[in-house]
Parts: sequence; C-alpha cells; structure tokens
Amino acid sequence: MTDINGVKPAATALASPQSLARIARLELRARTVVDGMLSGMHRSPHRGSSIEFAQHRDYVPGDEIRHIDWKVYARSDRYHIKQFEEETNLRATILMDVSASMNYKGSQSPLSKREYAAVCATALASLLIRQRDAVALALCGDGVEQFVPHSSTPGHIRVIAETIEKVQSSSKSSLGSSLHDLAERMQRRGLLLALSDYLAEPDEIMRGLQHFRHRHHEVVLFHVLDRDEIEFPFKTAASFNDMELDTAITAEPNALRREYLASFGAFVEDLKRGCRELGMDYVLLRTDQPVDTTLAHYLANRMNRAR
Amino acid sequence: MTFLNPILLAAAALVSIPLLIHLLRRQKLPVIPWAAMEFLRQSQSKLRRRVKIEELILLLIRMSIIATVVFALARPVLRSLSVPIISQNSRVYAVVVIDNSYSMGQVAEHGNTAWQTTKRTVHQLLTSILRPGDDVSVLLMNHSTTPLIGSPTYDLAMADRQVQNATLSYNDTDFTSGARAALALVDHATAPVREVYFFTDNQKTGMSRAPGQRAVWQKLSKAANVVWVSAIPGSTPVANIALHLSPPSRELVTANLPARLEATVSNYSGETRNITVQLRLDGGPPSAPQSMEIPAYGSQSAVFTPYLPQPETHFGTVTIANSSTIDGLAADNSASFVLHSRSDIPVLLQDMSPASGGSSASSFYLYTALQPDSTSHIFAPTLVNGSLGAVNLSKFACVVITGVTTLSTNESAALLHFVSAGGGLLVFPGPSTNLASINQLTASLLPAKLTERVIAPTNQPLTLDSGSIGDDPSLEIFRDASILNIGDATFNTYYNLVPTPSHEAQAVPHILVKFSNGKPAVVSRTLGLGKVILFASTANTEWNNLPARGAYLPLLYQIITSLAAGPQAHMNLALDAPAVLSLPIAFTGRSVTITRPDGRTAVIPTVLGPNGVTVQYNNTDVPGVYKVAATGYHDAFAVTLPSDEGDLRQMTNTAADLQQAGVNPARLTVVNKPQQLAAAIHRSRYGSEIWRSLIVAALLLMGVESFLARIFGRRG
Repeated sequence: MTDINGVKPAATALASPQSLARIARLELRARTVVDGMLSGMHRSPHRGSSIEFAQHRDYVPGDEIRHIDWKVYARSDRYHIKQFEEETNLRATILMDVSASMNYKGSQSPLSKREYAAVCATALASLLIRQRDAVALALCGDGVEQFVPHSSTPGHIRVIAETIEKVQSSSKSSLGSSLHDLAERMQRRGLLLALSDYLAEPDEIMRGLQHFRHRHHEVVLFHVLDRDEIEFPFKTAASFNDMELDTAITAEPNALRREYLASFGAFVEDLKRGCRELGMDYVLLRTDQPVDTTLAHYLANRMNRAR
Repeated sequence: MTFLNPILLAAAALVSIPLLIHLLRRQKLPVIPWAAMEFLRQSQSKLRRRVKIEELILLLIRMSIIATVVFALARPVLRSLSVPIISQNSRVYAVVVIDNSYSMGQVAEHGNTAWQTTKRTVHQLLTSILRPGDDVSVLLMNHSTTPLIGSPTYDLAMADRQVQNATLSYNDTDFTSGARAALALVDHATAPVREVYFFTDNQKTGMSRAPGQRAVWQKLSKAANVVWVSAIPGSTPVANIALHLSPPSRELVTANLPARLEATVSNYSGETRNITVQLRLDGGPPSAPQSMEIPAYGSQSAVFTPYLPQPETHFGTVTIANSSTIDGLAADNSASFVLHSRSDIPVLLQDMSPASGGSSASSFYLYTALQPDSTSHIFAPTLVNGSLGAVNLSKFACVVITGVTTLSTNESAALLHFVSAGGGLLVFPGPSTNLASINQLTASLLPAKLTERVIAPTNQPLTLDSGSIGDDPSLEIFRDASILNIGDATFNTYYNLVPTPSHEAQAVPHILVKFSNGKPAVVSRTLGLGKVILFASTANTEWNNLPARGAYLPLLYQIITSLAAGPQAHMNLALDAPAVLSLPIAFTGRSVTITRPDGRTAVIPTVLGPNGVTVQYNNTDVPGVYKVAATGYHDAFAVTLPSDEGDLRQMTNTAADLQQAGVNPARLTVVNKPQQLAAAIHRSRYGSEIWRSLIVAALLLMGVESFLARIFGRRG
C-alpha cells in the first residue's frame, strides 16, 4: 500500500500504530518512535560561527577580519575566511490541533488522530531537543489553548508530553486565528511544525500560514487523517454526527461516496497546492501507518534537499 | 373486476411493510461521529433532491410488488366486455353449427377423425357446459346448411342424441352458409345470452370471400357471441391426395367416337408425390395405369379416351392406385362417370338455301364433315333441302339448319317440341335469312336475335377468340389454342347476335364463343331437356373460312354430340344436383327404382309433363353411380365430389381470418383444442383470471427494483 505522499509503510516498523496503542504514556510512545529513527538527520541550513568547521573561502572586502584563518595565510600568503556549521540555534515551534475533530478514530485505526498527532509532536520535540534545538509547543483549539515556551533542555520533552496529555479537547476549531496569534508571538525566525486535520476554515488556515511565511518562518504542514476520511468505506446508511457541532446527517454512503471522495480529494489537493505555492512542506500522516517510517521518510527527504 | 379469493385482499395491508421498513430504518440507523462533516454536507446537498426522488421511486416499486402479489393471490377476474354483468348467469340460447363436410372425416389425433372429436366436444357442451333451462338449436354445415334441430329445444339430452346420430356429408365447406343460418335463428331469439358455436376442422377453403359475407359475420357477432372450436389441434395439415373428374366433354359417344375423361389429381401435401391413376370401365379390369409426379400442393391431369363399342349405358371409375400411405381422406380417391354409347348419331341436316348447289351450298361442308367415309361413321346424316315438311324429327338426335331463311309456324312448333323433349338444334344463318321473320317466329326457340348483318373491313377480318370460351364441357378442349386452334379462321361477315333474355334460370342464353371484336359468335340456351345453338355466320365458306380450317371438324363434332346427347347430357352431376331422366312415353304412370352408391334404393314415379315423361331425383348426396331401372328400362347417372374439399390446410390464424371476414373480435372466442372448450366458454362468459400476469408483473417489478437500487447506489 502506498499513501498519497508515496510513502510505503515499513512492515516491521517499531512504531506502528498498533504497537504504540499498547504503550500508555505519550513520552514512552515518542521515545519508541525516536529510537526507531536515525538520529542526527536534522541539519540547520544556516551558517554561523560555531564549533564545527565547515569550509574555507576567499576573503572579500567587507568580511569580518576575525574570521580570517591566519594559519592558512601564513602557509599560502593569501586571505581565507573560515566558515562553521551552525547546529544549535534553531527555534522550533510545534503546533498541535486539539479540536474535537482530532478525536476521530476510525474502525480500522488503533489511534485517534489526536493520539497519532501527539506521538508525532512529542517525537519531533524529542528529536529537536536531542540536537540542542529549542522547542516550543502550542496546543490550539478555539484559539491557542496551551503554550509551552522554547527550551532545549532534555527535561523539556517531559513538559511537552505532559502538557499534550493533560489538555482537554476544544469543542470548536479556529486554527486560522490560532496561527495568526502564534505568528505574532514568534519574534525570531524559526521552524513551525503544524499537526492538524485542517478540516475547518481552509482559507483562514492558509492565511495564517501565509502570516508565518511573511515573517520568514519555515513551515511544515503535517496533515493528520484517518483512513475512513480518505477512503469513506462505509456501506450501510448511517447518521453521521458532527464531532464539533451538534448536527447530524443521515446518508447512504454508497450514494454519496463518489461525491464525497471527489470533494475531499479536491480539499487535499488544494492544501498541497497552497503549501507548494507558499514554499512549505506538506506531509500526510495516515493514522493507520507507522509513525517512525513516515517521519523518517520526510526527514530524509528534507536532509537531501538541504544538501 | 371480481376476485375469487377476496378475503386475501386484506393482505393488501402488507403494502405498508416497505413504508414501515423505510421509516424504521430512518429511526434506527447506526450513529457515526464524524469529523469531515463539511465534505459530507456538500455531497449530501448535491444529492439530496435526487436521493429523495430515487427513494420515493424505490418505495413505490416495493409497495407495488407487494400489492401485485396480494392481487394475484386474490385471483382477480377480468370480466368479458361482451357479456353484460347482469346477464352473466342468465339463460343461454346456443346455436350449435357442426361442420359435416367430408373433410371432417380426416384422421386428426390418436386415430380419431375430426368428426368423432367434434361429436365428443358437442356432447361435452350439451351435457356439461350448457345448463338446464338453456335452449339449443343444431345446424349441420357444409356447402349449404341444414337444420338438425331448427326450433330451439330445452331437451339437451335429445339434442345430444341427434348430434351423435348425425352423419358426414360428401359436400365441401362454406362457413358463411353456417353463419347465415345461425344468424336467422339468433336474430329472433329472446334469450339474454346468445351464443353460436362453430365446430369445424378450420379448413382454409371453407372461408369464401363471396360478396355480402362480411355483413353476415358482422350481424352474427353483433347478435351473439361466436365461439369457434377447432377439431384439429396443431397447424400441420393432414396430407391428402384428391382426384376430381371433370364433366366429360361428351357424354354421348359412338363406336367410332371415343369418350374423353379428364381427371385432375391434386397433391395436398408438402412433398412431391408419384401418383398412379387407373380407369375401370363397367366393372372390368383396370386400364393401363398412368403415372405422374405431382409437386407439393400442385395438380396434374390424366386423360383417358376409351372406345365404347357396345351401344348402351356405360359406367366406370377413375381411381388413384397408390394413395393409401399418404392419404387423409378416402372418399376423394376415385370418381365415377356414366357415358352413353350409340351405334351412330342420327342427324337431320336441313339446307334452306340449296339453290347454289355444289361446294357453295351451305350444307356442303356440314354433310361432308358428318360423313367423312362410309366405314367408320359416327353420325348418320339425313339431308333435307328446303322446308322440313313431314319429316319425323323424333328419329333424330340433332337437327342442323343451315342457310336459314324463314320458319313456318308449324316448323317452329315442331322444332320447339323436338328440343323440349331432349333434342339438339344447331342453326346457321345465311345471306337469305329473313331477320324479321326469324326473330319473330323463333323468339321462344333461338337463344339470340339476329339484328343486323355486319361486314368486317377487308384488311381487318375477324377471328374466333379462344380465350372467350366459357366452362361448357363440350368446348373446353378448344381453350388451349396450341392443341386445337379455332382462332385461325377468319370471318368477313356475320350477324350481330343479341341474346334473348329469359326469366327462367335454366333458359338463360350463354355466349359460348366470341369474335375477336367481342361480339357473340356462338350462343346457346337450354330449352326443356334439349339445347339450341346459334352461329353468327354461315356454315360454308361464303362469309368465313372456318370449314377450311383444321379445327372445323372437331368443333362441329363436339357441338353436335353435345346437342345430340339430349337428356343424357346431364348424367354426370355435381353433388346434390338434381338428376332428371327422360323416359319413353310408354312409362307414363309407372315408377323407376334408383339404386344409390351406398346400396339404398328409392322408388320414384314418372311424371308426364311438357318435356315428356321424366323422373327427377334430388337426393344425390353420395358420390358414385346411381342405377335407374324399370321393367324394360335401364339407365344410370353419376355424382362426383366437389373439387377443393380435399385441401385439408387450415386457416393459419383463425382469429385474424374471422376478424377479416367481419367477426367482431370482442365477441369472438377461438378454441384451438377441444379440451379447452369449458375454460374458454367460462372465460367468454365470466372473464379471465389474470393472476399469472400479475405474478409475472411482480417478478418484473422485482427485477426493476433490483436494477434501480443498484443504479441508485442502494446496494453495497
């Protein structure tokens, strides 16, 4: 089976949804995921003065004189500038949607969308902190419900995990306004990792993301969806109750399927196109596929692009 | 519409089942908490209107299925429109028309003849279907229709006995005669329900297209319900070989003049047949057989020309020798005939214009033709020039007058008496013919008036039109010009003949031959027991060259033998035609015994009348030879079957054919199998059950429901 990102799930993945569902604590679930991934895949695209040497280049007028490698000048009688790889100065913010729609758990899925997103968020935070990046967490429902400020201390992972576990689902979703709110809070340029099903207010969401790009943040959209939402496999007539609003629709799935799939597919395509146009990464996370494989695949692609 | 199980209509409440299911399903649907509601909502709004209509359609179809099944179980009956509801249990007057034509003798099924099957079916009708209080008339239908029980009777058992004792006729079929007779009965009936039953073998040839028949059928089906019962199940016709003997071209022959018998053999089967035909004369051995290969549903003729040297009455049969394996009817495998033979035929030749003499005499060619040589003579001509004088005409069989000028009153009276008693008169006019005198004196004798002399243009001489020859047996051989061509003679002068009208059907003149311009050339009439023939032109070559042509001799022989046959010219009769025999004056007040072909005898007294002493016998209902005997007198006559009754093919689509004939389809019930008669009559009177159609409709609706449900996406 291949998902709509072209990612093949690992047959023997340690962090399969079924395996994760058997682990009670989110922190342990996240560690399982991280252990299953290659460490150190993340590299900063920024160059600066740090510990690790990156390369020499010729001196040009305007360069700071303190960056000239005098030892090379002594040997070659020419000015060369030393360049270093910056590794620890990334500020990442993980946004996780905690609206009621994220509580959907399909009949074939071991984890709800929220549980799946929580594992991903914690695992990503763990990966970033291991690399000494500073990670913040924003839980959004009807606005930013919880915000954990940036920190790169190892104990920050536990704080993040506990915050995710404790927050209540919001009955409403206003992700668009939450994005605007969060963009205003992030003064320094950084990385936004946003995990949501993006089912509410798609135009408002895109404007919120644009806000981030306007402030030169790097944005990665993790689209968390259940298999039922993608394939609509229902056979018999049923009453579909809205998880956020008190409304219901009685529908014959066989009659609706074609229309639904077309409409939903268009929604996903629109989101992908929006991301492409804004220079953002789009990652589909299907709750029936292993977390580690999906994340590892994405991170590997990202590394390749950075080189 | 009525119901045989009306109580089951209560089950119609079951139609509410789909409705309840529909409502219950809406109440107890599984609940799915759903996140992507917006997409569902969008899809639903697009489909909502369509889905509502589709669900309504499916609901209605499902309710219709149950309603249809419930209706079927209640056994609804569609009443016949032809019978008013208030009279469905009323008294019935049934006219039973039974086809007893001889084709009903064909073997149809399980070795039974159509006649036997019909009798059984009529027995069922009279004992089981008609009820006490109903009355019935019974007619026997063939070429004509005769009442077996004319006045309606309530005694159905007696009617049944009469039918079981009825016999087949040898006649052919005419359905319209049955319809006409039945109409006469039902027209005066007062019973509220009138039914006319036809029991027949459905023979195709029985439905003639005679003018006026449509009105008869229309009136009949307006006055009564018509129930048509076929005694022959299936449409494959029974194969049959039939022989029909045409009337002999001459019934009087001499030792030197052979008889000519033409038998037509018809192959009424789907395969080519090799048929052998034989002639048997006076009970002697059969002649040499004649074989012929006859294609399917084709005919061929066999001609026998026997010489009959003994001057007496001869009889015989022409028989199919090898028909047994393929024959559906036995009666038409042979045909009988009677011929009279004399040593010679005495002819009086009267020349009224002898003055010119020699070959130009008007009697020259006639006399020469009647006596070509002295050894093998056929005729014994006696020539008289001028008036008849005191000639005893009774010694002659035929009188030929040539170059007629005028006839005295006495001559006219003598000739009239001579012809009435059975003599033959042949008259040729000439240039000296006194038209006024002839026309005045012979108005009651000659078949036509001679109005004017017509001279044809020299460059456009007239000829005789062989195509104008009618059905007179004596001239039949001249119809085919390739055998004997009478058309090569040319005529430059003739008298315009105007046939004399007559009130007596028998005396109506017939134009035997016409000229090429359509004017009558030869006209005949029957007078008493004899016949008169008048030519329009001369007997010699003065006005035409006929005497110099090859056809002259045979034409003259045929005409004179036909005239000379006299009373014996009607010895070969069609079925049911009356036989009239002329006897010597000595038999006045006596009787003759007629022995029929079936062995029965009848004693008939002679009658003295204007035509002399005669005997008339009307009961010629059996084919074969009838022998007539009295002390010192022996004679015979033969009766033959009708020609087309042997064709056993049935009407291909009885209902359509009857409708085309004029029967109102709403008043017609066709029963193709006798065993279905009771059900058909029940249906005709009370209507037909439609539960089978309803079950089929329910199955179709199920199929439609299944198909639509799949199309509408209501199946997984």
